[in-house]
Amino acid sequence: MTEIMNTPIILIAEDDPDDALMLKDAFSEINQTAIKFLENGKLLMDHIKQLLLADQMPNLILIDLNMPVFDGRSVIIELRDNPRTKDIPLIVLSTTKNKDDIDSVMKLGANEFFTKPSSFKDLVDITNSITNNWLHIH
Amino acid sequence: MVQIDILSFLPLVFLFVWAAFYLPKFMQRFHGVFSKLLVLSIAPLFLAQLFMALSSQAFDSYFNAAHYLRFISYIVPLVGIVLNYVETVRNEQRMIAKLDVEIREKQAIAANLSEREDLLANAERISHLGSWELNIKTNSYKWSDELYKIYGFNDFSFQPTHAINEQVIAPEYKKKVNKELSNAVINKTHFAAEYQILQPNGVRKYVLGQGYYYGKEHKLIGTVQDITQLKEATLKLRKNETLLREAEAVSHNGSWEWNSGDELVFWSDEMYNIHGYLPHSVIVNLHTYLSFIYEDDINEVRLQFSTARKNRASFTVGYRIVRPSGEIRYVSTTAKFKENEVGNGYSYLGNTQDVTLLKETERKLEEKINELNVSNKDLEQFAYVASHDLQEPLRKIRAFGERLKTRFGDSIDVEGQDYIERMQNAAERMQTLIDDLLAFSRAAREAKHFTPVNLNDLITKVLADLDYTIENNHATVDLAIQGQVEGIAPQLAQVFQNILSNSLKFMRPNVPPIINISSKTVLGSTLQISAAVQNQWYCVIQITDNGIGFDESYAGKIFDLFQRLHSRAEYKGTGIGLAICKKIVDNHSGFIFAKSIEGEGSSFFIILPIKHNAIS
Repeated sequence: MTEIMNTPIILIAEDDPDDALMLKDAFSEINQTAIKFLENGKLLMDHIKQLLLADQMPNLILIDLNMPVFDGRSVIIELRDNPRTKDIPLIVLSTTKNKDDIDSVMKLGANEFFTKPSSFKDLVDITNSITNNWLHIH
Repeated sequence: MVQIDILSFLPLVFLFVWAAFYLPKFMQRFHGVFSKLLVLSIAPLFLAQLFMALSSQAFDSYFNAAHYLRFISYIVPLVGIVLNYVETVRNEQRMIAKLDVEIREKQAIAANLSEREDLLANAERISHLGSWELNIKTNSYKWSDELYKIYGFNDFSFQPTHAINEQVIAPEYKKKVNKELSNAVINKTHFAAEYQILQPNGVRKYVLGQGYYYGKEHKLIGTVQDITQLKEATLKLRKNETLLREAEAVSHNGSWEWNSGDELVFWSDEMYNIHGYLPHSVIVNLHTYLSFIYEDDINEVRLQFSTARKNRASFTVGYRIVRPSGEIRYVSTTAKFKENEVGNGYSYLGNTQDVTLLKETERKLEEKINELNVSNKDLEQFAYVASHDLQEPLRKIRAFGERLKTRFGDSIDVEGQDYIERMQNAAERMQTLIDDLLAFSRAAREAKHFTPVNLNDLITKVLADLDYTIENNHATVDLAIQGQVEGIAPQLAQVFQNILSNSLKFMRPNVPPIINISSKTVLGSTLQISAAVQNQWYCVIQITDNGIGFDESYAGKIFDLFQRLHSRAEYKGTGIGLAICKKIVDNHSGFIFAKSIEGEGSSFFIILPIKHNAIS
């Protein structure tokens, strides 16, 4: 039980299996293996609801912006609307470099934004920085 | 024997002569009682004389009486002669007096006549009207002084002849004038003709010749009036009128006038054309005009017009009219209020233009703009798709390539590693290409917010971004620039970024780059660029480097899309950078060109208008 409590809950919503694989590899490089991947925003939200019912709270959520069914923005809006989830660290990882897009996402309430890098090494750096900055075990 | 004494007969003869010659005259002049008495008194005298002459001697008792009578008979004629003489003298004096009065009267008439002649001459001079007379029988002419003048002769003394008269009329009018004159003679009537005369100095004048045939004296009497000024003014007016009519027809622009006191509205021909009527085929007043207007617009027109009348002001109103064919046309009417010079009245001088075509064009333009907006949106959508979806696979190729190299590097030989490297480079190049293409399409489409841009600040910032490359290449940058232009700051930064990057990139091997950036302000007229606005100030920014340069015959081509002068192995690049610069400078209504000496360096000139609004 204590082990479960001490293992951080990291949720990643990513519809692209390649990116999911890459992220999984990158996190394992920094020894974070207990990560739950979800294919879209809807599945993510369902999963968070279940966690909340079980009185559990995700420690870190990573989302893509472009996802089918329920996209990243909608996820941010809904999470930030709920008082119970509004403080969960929320990181956006997307392909866009567009400054306007980034600004609008940050305004919606994301904590940080990363453009998906072309280099795996850069991705490892990003995951490292995310866990260092945002992963605090409750 | 009766003795006849001649002497005794003398008195009788005398008396007889008197009675025969003087008495009738006397009686004629004094046909009163006195003359009758005188005649009666002669009878006894006559008898006495006869008796005395025959008897030649006194007859006793009557002898004295006879002598007395004889004496009387001498006296009576004598008195008669004297009286006759006196009367004659008196008559003569009376005649002289009467003659005197007549002469004076005639003198007065003559003076009056000469005054009138002067008046006539003056009138002729003022009205440029000369008069003439032609005696047909003798073929002799008489001209007034003014006619000489009109015909251009300074000398009034010569006698006009048929030949001179013929010479005066301009050749092409001779036939016409002669026909008029002969018609007048044949039909015993008036004539009038406008024609041209030819003065001795070659000047042509328009004249109006008028006159009539005077049958009693078999003469033609006429006048010639110089109407050159009038004619020229009329011709000019007619020309202007024609021009105006044509201009109105071409621009579908009719004019009209309405006076506050008038029932009718005056319309120019084009007004009828615009409203679908033949010129002057309908009567137009304010009431009928409303019936030409499309029903929905009548109230608006009425309101505008009545408001303008109330305020005594000009007005402009756009509305639709319905032609008799049922066709609806758009018109725009502008009317100017004009106060009458006398009285309280006023008038409106108006101009009505058929703007149907304009409206149609406007509508089409709007449609096109909408289409363009839609197409721009599509393009943006495409750009987004391009930036996101096209880049995705490339990113993965690179990332997995890297994974392959790092995780399985040991089990792949050097050749395999090289293949992976090449694959990754190709993917990277494709990414750059897509990025640059997107930047190029953005430069063409982006919203254009022109703000004052301080060139020194802007370029300093660009140089700061290039700091790493500058230091790495041991480059020297000399920035001597000042001034401000109205521009789109991020776009201008992109221009300098691209050109300065090129200067740093195309350096000669082992020659540290030296880059000079300078500027000056010049008038458009000094630029020797035909598209430059002559009276506009431009900022010319020159960026000169000591790099590899290029063959100047490519100077125009280097700004074309995908234009590369070097192989990718020598210098990296997509051939889009300068095309972006050109696009941006075009956005600013500026100019960009380059000069170079191969192997020594290149100079780029960026010419931007100081004030953007003055050009766009």
